Amino acid sequence: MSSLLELQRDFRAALLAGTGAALPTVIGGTLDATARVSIYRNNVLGNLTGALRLTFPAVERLVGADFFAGAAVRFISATLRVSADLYEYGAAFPAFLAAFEPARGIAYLADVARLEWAVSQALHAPFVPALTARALLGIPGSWQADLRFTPHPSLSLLALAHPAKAIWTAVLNEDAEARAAGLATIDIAAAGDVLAVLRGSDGLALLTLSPIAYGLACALAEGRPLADALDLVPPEDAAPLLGGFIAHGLFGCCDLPEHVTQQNPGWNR
Amino acid sequence: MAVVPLTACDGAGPIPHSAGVGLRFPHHAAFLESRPTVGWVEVHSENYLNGPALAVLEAVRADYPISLHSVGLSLGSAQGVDVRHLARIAELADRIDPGLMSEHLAWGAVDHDFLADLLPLPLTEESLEVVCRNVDRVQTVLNRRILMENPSTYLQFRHSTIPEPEFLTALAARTGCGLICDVNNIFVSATNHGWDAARYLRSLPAEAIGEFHLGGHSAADAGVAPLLLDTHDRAVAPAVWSLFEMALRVIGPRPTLIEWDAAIPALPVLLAEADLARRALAGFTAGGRDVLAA
Repeated sequence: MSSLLELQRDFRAALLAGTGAALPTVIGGTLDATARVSIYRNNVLGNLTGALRLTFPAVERLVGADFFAGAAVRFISATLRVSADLYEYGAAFPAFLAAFEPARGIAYLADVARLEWAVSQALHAPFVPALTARALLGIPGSWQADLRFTPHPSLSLLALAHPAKAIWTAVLNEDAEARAAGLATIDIAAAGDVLAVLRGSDGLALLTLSPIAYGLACALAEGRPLADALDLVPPEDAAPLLGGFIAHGLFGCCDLPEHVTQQNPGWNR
Repeated sequence: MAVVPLTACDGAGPIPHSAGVGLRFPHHAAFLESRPTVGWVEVHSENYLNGPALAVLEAVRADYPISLHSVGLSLGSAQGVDVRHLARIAELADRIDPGLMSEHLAWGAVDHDFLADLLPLPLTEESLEVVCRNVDRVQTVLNRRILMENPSTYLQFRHSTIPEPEFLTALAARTGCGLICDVNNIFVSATNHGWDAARYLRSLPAEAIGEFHLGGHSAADAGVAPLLLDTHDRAVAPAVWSLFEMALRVIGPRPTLIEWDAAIPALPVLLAEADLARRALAGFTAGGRDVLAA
């Protein structure tokens, strides 16, 4: 007789493989073990495919429901689900699509998926106030060079190879005629989008960034000290870029340098 | 026709012995706009951990008692409860201050893979020890009693040694947890496994039952013997209403939830279903029978 842990491992394998052969402890009766396990398999695939559908509606529109369901089953069988929160499921789906042979003909598909993942993350991120200019200006100038920023939890920075934003916008149009017309005007060979995706004070925001702005945003989001990050941009661009980032709420907070917090315990972010 | 006074809009607090509805995403806007008359509101905790859904729940909790019904704690997992997920559920409980919290007699995770379903357990002494340990853990972290729901199942294990109602009775006795009596699940499992649903009901410890669940089921189209699926995609079946009447006689009135999770109808349809449950409950609540007859 198997222990519970062994049984749960065997059951998981049987679920994902779609067979009851490895589960001799299941009572068959009028329905054999494989048919009974299939009910649970269908539930699991249905629940997880449903979660992917909610997160990647534009991908589904682009490839069609059947193709999407087929890709989802392959993805589900190949990837662990590390969280019980289904909003956290699908981070690896864009990379899966990029390597998915049957989707090779749609070069921009993985980029649209990357954008949709960023949008989903932005919409479902915790509500955290954004760092404001007022808070930043309250920090003495001599400490500013060593400030480290924390990205707002809703922020994703994307440098894509394709114009995914235009495709995403057009394909999600509910009006079929407008959708077709919108898609027809897109030059899929156009330059790739460079974006900051986040939930701002007015809801979802997709901000187009210049390559310089993207480099600065990435450096700050990685936690590089402010002065180091600003070395990446022409001096005259530094203030407007940083001001724009703050105004759009790209950052949640900033940490003062360690020597400052040690000497000034009253100061906090 | 006169009906019993409604217990709606009492605000956050304990769950009353009246009918509640499961709040699902398609109803968010209609629910917030109409603030319908219903005793209490249940949500699946995992869908409200963050973002706009949490904001909706915080708005709803101002006017309705809330039940947080989890589907992802996997309390039948041999490897124990996922620390991160339990912490997130605890954080949600701190924010919402629910009148009830509950989970299922099932498992859904192994080796850090969450399978997004309520999977069946072999009903053995080993499983009982595992579930007791996990329920203890959850009750300790949440610092509150939880209710555990009887599952609907589509298979049984050869090495199970404990009948399901006895398993639940022992679980409640050993951990102090309460139980949800899901009447539809009893009907579905009894049909699928040839159990006696009435006997199952009478075997449950009435004093431990803190809630009833009602939902719709469907018949699987394949197979020779009848096989029912717990689909929550339609109205409660007449046979399940009859079993609910029996449950009220055997166990007594308890908070009663209408679950409708797929093919979700317009909000008034769901509310009408809850009203049927409310009327059935009223017949078993002091004074209710007279008012109903008026």
